Amino acid sequence: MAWRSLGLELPDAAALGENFTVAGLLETEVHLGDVFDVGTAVVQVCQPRTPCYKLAARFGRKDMPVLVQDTGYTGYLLRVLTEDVVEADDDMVLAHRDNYHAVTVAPGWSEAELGIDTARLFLPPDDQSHNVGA
Amino acid sequence: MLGSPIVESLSGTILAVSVGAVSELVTTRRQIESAFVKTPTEGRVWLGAASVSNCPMRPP
Repeated sequence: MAWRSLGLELPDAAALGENFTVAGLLETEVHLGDVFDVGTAVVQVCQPRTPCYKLAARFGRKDMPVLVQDTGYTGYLLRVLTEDVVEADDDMVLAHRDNYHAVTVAPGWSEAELGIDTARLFLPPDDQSHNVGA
Repeated sequence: MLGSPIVESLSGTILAVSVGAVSELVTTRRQIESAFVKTPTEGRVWLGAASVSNCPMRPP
């Protein structure tokens, strides 16, 4: 729900295409490889989410991927380790963390480490310098 | 192997489960097949193990 900081009028669930709308578990807290019990299923954080052109199309704003990225609340992708049922009001609880890596899913690491600003790749060439909220 | 001890607690609460609102933009059979949440039924979903994303930028 941290994307509310965008200041846009968005529905409560699935506004940004997410499958889980979660309170807590911010990108700055969650690490790559973290395993979570969620409902009776088990999932693992496998990569940060990069906002892409579909958000721009959905909201009719070509800068939407950049807006979302600049909030720092881009979400993250999960792989399913144990199939089962999940429903609203279930807790999502850390079951395992490999502290060896300790890499969060917060955006910015790719830009800092690789020199790639991924969300801006979806802007038209004449808008590559666009910098929302910076 | 999942052998490391948990040294901290971390948890959140699922407020909603959904098939993404951008799903109407999904246009190819491959993308549909790679959707993360399977068989949504009134806010209760079965998680499939096939993939992690319905975004064509990220292969399952």
